[in-house]
Amino acid sequence: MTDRGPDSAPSGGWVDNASNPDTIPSRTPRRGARRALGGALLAAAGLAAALGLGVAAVVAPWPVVGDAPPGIRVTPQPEGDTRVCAGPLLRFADAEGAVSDRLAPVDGAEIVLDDPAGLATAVQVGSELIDGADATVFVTGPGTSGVISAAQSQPVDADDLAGFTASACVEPGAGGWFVGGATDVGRTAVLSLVNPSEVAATVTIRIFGEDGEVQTAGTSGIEVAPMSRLVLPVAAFAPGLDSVVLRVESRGGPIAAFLQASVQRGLDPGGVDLVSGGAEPAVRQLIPGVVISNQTGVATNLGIEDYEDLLPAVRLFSPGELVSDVVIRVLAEDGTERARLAVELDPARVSDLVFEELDDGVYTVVVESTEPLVAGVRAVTADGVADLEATPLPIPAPHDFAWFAAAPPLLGSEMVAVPEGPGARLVLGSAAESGATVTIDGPDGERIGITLLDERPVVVPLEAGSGYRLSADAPIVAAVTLVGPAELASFPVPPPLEAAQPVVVYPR
Amino acid sequence: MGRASVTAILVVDSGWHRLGGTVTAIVEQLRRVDRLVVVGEITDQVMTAVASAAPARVVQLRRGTIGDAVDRALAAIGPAEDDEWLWVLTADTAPHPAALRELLAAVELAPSVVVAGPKLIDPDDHAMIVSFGESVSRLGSTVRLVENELDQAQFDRDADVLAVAVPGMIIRRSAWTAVGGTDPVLARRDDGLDLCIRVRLAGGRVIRVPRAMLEAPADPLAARSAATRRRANARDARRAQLHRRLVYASPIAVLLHWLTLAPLTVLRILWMLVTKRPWAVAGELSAAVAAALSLTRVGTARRRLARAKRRRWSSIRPLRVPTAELWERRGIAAEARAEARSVPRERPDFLSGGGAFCVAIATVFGVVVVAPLVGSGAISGGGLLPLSGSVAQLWSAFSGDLGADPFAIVLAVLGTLTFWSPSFSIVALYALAVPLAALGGWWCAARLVTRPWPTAVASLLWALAPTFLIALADGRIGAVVLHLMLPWLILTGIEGARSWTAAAAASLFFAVAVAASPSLAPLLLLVWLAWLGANVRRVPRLIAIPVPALVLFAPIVVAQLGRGTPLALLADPGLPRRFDAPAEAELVLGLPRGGVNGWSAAAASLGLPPWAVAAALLLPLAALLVVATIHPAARRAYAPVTLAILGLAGAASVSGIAVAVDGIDAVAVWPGAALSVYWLGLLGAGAVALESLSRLKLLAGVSVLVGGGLVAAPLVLAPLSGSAAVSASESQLAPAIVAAEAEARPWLGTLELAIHDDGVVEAGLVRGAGATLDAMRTLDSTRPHPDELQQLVAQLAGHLITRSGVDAGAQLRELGIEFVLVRDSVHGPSAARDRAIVALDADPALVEIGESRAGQLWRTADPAIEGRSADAVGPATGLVRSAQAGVIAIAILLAIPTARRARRTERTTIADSRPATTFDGDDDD
Repeated sequence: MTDRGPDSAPSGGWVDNASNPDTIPSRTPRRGARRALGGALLAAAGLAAALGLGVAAVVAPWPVVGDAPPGIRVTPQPEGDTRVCAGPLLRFADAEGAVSDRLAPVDGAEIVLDDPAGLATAVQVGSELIDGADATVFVTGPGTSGVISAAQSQPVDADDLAGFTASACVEPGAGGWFVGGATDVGRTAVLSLVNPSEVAATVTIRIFGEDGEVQTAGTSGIEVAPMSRLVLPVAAFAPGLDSVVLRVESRGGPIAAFLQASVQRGLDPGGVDLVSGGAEPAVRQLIPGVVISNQTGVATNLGIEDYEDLLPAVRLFSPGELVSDVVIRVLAEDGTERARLAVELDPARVSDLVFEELDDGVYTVVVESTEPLVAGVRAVTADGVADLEATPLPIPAPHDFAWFAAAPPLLGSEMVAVPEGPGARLVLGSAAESGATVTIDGPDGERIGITLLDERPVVVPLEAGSGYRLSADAPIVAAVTLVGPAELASFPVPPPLEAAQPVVVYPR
Repeated sequence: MGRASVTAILVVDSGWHRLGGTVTAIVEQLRRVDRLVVVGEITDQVMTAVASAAPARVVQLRRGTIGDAVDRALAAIGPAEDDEWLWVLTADTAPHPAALRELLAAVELAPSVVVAGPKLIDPDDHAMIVSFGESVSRLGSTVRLVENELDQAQFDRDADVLAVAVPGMIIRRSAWTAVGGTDPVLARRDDGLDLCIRVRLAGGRVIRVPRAMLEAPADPLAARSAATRRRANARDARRAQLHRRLVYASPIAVLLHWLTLAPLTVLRILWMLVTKRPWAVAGELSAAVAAALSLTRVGTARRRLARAKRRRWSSIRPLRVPTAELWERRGIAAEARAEARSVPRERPDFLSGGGAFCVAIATVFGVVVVAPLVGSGAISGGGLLPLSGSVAQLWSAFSGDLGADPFAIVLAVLGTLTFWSPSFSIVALYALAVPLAALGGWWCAARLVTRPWPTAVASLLWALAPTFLIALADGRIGAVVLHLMLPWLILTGIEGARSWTAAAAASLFFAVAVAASPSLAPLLLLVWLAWLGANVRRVPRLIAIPVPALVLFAPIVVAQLGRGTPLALLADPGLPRRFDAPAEAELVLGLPRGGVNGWSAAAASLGLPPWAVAAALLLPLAALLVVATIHPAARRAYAPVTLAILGLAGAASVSGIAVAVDGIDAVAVWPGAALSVYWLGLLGAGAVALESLSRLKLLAGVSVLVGGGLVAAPLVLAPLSGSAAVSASESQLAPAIVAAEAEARPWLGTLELAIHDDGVVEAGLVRGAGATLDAMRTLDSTRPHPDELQQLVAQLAGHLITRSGVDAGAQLRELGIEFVLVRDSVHGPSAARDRAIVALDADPALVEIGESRAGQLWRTADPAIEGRSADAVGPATGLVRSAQAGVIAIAILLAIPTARRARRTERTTIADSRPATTFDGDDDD
């Protein structure tokens, strides 16, 4: 549009639309068309501008600001080591040794403390009800971690209790799984709960047997006072079980639990063992250090009535709700599979599976399952052979059994105290598929390097009554086994509790 | 009595360009003056102009008042003659030829008359009376008996008046001398009034003479703008009134008047704000100060008055204007002003034009949204927490802490509305949010379009905006408040160009909007600047719109700049909560976050991007927007489209800025607030387009409405279906035992731990009965590094949840922590959480209490001690908060609608097309 001032020639009407918008212009058709075209172009330009600006507004390279907030890394100060030793074995007897329904300690537990820096102090934590049944607790001051290790062993040879036990002195924690023992006639299982802390512990015990979980009063909310020991015969809750698996859970103060299992057949003592707490339920359990010895001697006992539970057996328990397919393999030192069992395992029931034929040797039992389970292996050794011809009754060969617990994986460096006893050996296996390299530092400064290919057992003889340091570059399992004539005991090397890991805390 | 002699005194100060006419008029008087004295700044031009009148004297006076000029003239002409009258004229007051004759005729009839004043008429329109007699009210303010009125002889009856103006008056020379001339203080105002009052008190009479006419002198400020004139006049009037008050009062009352100057001034200023005259405030102040400091001149004036005074004050009482008459005059003036106002644009009526209907429909949706929350005393979840338990705590959260967010005031106001249970106000807000949005949307749309149908469509879609509904579901209370404020802000911002009330309301809405969503401040300031540029002549009203917001934010701005985190100013107030960053397409659809929003699942099942279904449903709106940009009749859509683009840019620009921290997460600025602006622009443009459609109006509207409604439907249902983050809760989030203990010991600390499955821990220290929304501070949430206390707490938490040898008991005690809470994990128990619980259980410093509604709870074995007590409110805090309160109070006073709704009666004539009058009833130009 040309802007014509009021003075210009009034040929096309004197009103100019641009200067007087209120007046309706008289349009000629040509101007109208031109105007429509202009309008359309203007509209198109407007639309394009709006769209362009809109798109530009969204896709413009707007700033990106802000990092993830910084967390504060908190490295916990180690509380110091605490190692709780089981203390003397217990038997149903009064102070004079006469049979009683009360428990009394059997003196003679020997403790080996490996404390290179001399940091540990010993505290006795006793039971209110049983005089002399003191658990020995070693503590080091705050700020130290992994500086001590201890183990105890005790041979016993009484009329009603004979055999050999050895166990690691353990770090107190939230409880654990115990696979072993029975409460049937002549079988005794006694649970010891030691609370070495200043906080009362509230303990719940769940007892599983061959018919499922034993529902009974008094197994939950068991209070273990600070710095005290509580001894509970399992039969008091669940008598008559052939196969026992215990789950011990503690809230509040940490506890150390020990399960003492013993057998008496008629008048003959049938061995004693301190069952170590085993690995948490998992779909793969490794039980290293299973030693089978003098099977010929044991076999002679089998002919006697009530001696059928001398065969090596694996005990399985799946706490879930699904039936699991379980494969059990017994691996020898040369890597061969000496036995293999494949079973369908019912959930929530304890099952014992017997290995009919196993030669003497050192084995690692590998249990693989579709559902998480806990497992343990029982083995028996004997001294000589039974006198089946003796009158009036056959005289069995002296024998002892041991429960081998599933070993939790270890990584890094760990101290191992070896208790006094015969034939001490360390049995190692790799828990990682890729194998592992292990270094063992002995008490006299000697160092052994071992390469573990797989789960197969690798045996290292140990000097009883001394301390070793075990260092692994990948997860391994390890167990200490002691074996002598009618003496058998084993315990897995426990991993440190998981507390010492630094945590990242985000303030808010 | 002999023939009177008249000395005309022509004062030449301003307006000398009309001097020639005046001189001619003097020469041409039917009753010639006896002598003429010219006083003033005499130049050659002046000499030439007055030559024809042959002045008796020409007196040079460079500067001075009219009174000075008269005094100088009198000195120059020597002693008085018998019966000598002075006729005071100025350069631009051309008298009517008969003026002097009429004046003298009037005074000759009544010897008691000492002063007579002519009718001052408009030089351009002689039928208009500019001034014709003056008086005072009962309280002493000046009343001009006639002011700019058409001369219909209606004032010709009453001759006796209290006073007349100086220009044009004739006064006995003896009287002038006796009363001491004019008061120099009153040179600009009321000089005639004061002079005449003294004449009256001295026993003389003052009359006005209707048949004597004189052209009124020009306003000396005529060249200035109307606003400047208005301000100057108000100041001068007040100055004169105060001076007269101090002069006329009895000696005792003088002191009283002087002492009450300050409080009266404050009250009057407040009243000026209420009556929308903020422009008069400065003048009021300066007048009061000048009056208070001019005691010498008051003394001089009092002595002058005392010398002349012969009568009592009561003698002039009948001539003062009675209060009733005064009110009547004011009423008439106000009506005249109201009539002068332009008739505003047509707009649909709220009740009959669909507004009420929209709100009713929105209420139904609102009921669906709030249904799961009904009956609860508070809402929590998402970004929501309960409020403090008492109104006092709510307010002290802001008043006692310079670091508090301005949003704390919004919360305090909300909480005060439901003072019996502050947290309930959030529930109420949720219940009313959707209908309130429809209400605001309707009024805002009604400002833009005139037809009911487009208005209704815009209103409903505003209430169902996805960004609004998502903000409700996510508990983003700031974005909710913003969405409710935005239409009112735009509306009052537009009206603010014409009305003080609206401008002040806009400033308050601006403050609330920015407090609720600080990230929107740059965008809103930009829009404000643009609006300012478009209304250059209305700048005084609009300029102050951001002021309350700026004042409220000043301490936070100082604090954030001080620690070098300016971007943190954008952080949303309230509880920071992480959200999924929106895709570009989601932003364009008005969805402020990614993740599940309504149709994403349906789209995913069809194998489409999650936003595809929503995009399809919004196609009708998109089509309408295309119309808006290309339709020639939809020019009005340009502004909304621009606003929409700005909003979109705002949303896209902030969504990458993460300045706040929520424990483990960096929290980006919520783009939903800017999307509200975007949506507002879209709906505005859509409404304009819908109105400009010549056909298919109904179909287009319905399809837009249905599409938008379907997009909103799953969001409306979200709270009902339980997929919303917010849910009903107790009004205290702390476990009951903590809440009970905190009653007596509000400083009591609870260490709250959230332990994630991967072992990462979030640790926070909460005082009292649980975290409250009003205690949240962006200064805390945007801290670049953990502060000392946070470090301590984090360390403590780390040691507590691990088997650590550190003695936690002493630290807990010192930090005033008595409870440790491990929050329930949303994912159920985890190994990390179990380990932490084991460690806490094993800690001899803690005693387990058990499960609480919030999680696992422990209590310290020894009671905590009160650590650092709350910092006393510093004087700086009090000062700053008082200043802020002052600014807000001014804005509120200004925002109170006080002008009369003058046009109700006109409704009959334009019936249904009458616009609503909420904001246009008080244009006070």
